[in-house]
Amino acid sequence: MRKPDLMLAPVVGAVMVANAALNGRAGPLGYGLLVAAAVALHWHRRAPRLVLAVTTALALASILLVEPDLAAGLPALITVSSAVRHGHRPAALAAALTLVGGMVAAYLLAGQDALTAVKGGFLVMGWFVAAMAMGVALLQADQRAAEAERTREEAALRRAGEERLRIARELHDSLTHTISIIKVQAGVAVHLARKRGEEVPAALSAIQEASGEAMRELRETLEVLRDDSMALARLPELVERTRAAGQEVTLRLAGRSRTLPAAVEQTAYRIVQEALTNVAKHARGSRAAVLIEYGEHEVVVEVSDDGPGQAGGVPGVGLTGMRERVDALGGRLSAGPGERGGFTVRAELPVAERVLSA
Amino acid sequence: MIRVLLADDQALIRAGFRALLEAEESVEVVGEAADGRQAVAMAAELVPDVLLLDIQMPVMDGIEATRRIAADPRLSGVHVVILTNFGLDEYVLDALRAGAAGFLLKDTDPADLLHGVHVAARGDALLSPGITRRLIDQYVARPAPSSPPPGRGAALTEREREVVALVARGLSNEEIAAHLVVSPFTAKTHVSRAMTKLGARDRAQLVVFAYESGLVTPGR
Repeated sequence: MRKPDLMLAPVVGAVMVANAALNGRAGPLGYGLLVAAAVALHWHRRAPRLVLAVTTALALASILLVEPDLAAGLPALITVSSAVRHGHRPAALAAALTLVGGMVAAYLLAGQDALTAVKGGFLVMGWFVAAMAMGVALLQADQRAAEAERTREEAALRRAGEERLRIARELHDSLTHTISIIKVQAGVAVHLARKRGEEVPAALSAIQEASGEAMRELRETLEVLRDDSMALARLPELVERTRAAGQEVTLRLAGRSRTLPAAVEQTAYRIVQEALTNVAKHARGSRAAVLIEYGEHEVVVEVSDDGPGQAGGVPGVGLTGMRERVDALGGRLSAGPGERGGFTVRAELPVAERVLSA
Repeated sequence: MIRVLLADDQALIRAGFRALLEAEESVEVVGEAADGRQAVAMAAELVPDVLLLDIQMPVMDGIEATRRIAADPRLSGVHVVILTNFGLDEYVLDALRAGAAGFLLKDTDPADLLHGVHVAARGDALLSPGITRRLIDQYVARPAPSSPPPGRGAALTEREREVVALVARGLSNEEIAAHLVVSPFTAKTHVSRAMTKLGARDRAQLVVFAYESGLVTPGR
């Protein structure tokens, strides 16, 4: 438990007792109620609903039996905020209304006129609205932090997996080139020996056979290792899955569609994937459009929607990751309001000529 | 005599192929190139009948080299055969689109390799029925282009479209002739007209065109 949490109950208790002492109207019962509520506050994180019930009941008793002073509701006020933060909005609302009602009743019982009583009620209500708003803000901050953490973990896992795949591919690639030389040379030697009518040495046949076997195995492994699950050829499946999940989306390809370097294909795929996730998250019910435009020297990836745009929330977490990938390829990424409203993510990825590839 | 140019960055592969090809009376190895740029330059100088071209090479890869050779009208008689270690993949498809006559696995049986060189020299597509099936699978896995290749197919007559579809199924001119009940010469004329209209260098491009334009679809 953090220090402020340990200090919370004593500090609140001291404030309430001091306030009651200044007012001078509380007897043993009054102090007892205040101290009990302050003690209960200690567990407001662990059992928000139970603590909420206890502090609300104690505050109500104090207001009705001792004096109509909001200070008695301080533990309840704090617990309302943490109840909202933990997703118990109905309970928080019920507690707030109970104490507002209690305050109005206490004023009336004390012989105040109705106007003063209602004014007092509104004052209490204001405090509780503020407490609930704070709870909502804390809840959202918690959610964002959790989401960011999850995204970071996923990204780290993904990078590790990609790196392993890359190493395995390169290893198998270079091995294949070498074994293929052995197979070709052995094959030629066997062929020429037969052509000259000579007997083919058994050792040579064995080399030919073994290298052929190795080539077959290497090819099979490479096929598995060549992970094309993120190639642009898989976009229709991604779009189909998104559609099945209830998001309206169209896919359009323009220009001369062709195979691009793996890094470009993967980045383009990821951008579409990330952007569609964001649309589903922040612009529910809108229509999304995916456009892949193959240019001579670059490929343009654009995902737009006709949702509420940035007002629908900051479609931000995945955007940083996208930008990093695009930067790594020397491309440009823009994200913002679209031409016809909504939100548009657009990436221009240069397609390096394969002239220099080895 | 079939004049062959070898292009592979691995000297031992070139040596193996040279030994194999030179043992044939009907084949002559006219040169060896170690990268794509050299291959293009030597092809322009020697104008071989067949260029055995490694797809993966330093400086310039086989796809780009194919593209440059296909772009040179003086080299229209050079039949490019792609050599690969990895079977039919997207790179090979790109090379076929760029104008290659077909492809061979580097470790293909020597007899098949020699046969391939002869087939390519005749101007036939080097695509076995098995390979054609894989070609279909590749196109099934790919998204259909939003627009078919701009109206190139429209220029073809009904008969020519029919012939192109048969080429795409791997039929030779003789087989096409038998299928359509015409003379082999007529079949050949249809094929070469279709190739001219589509700007195809080799039968392989007819096959690619047939699948890309939807003239042939899997299962039909």
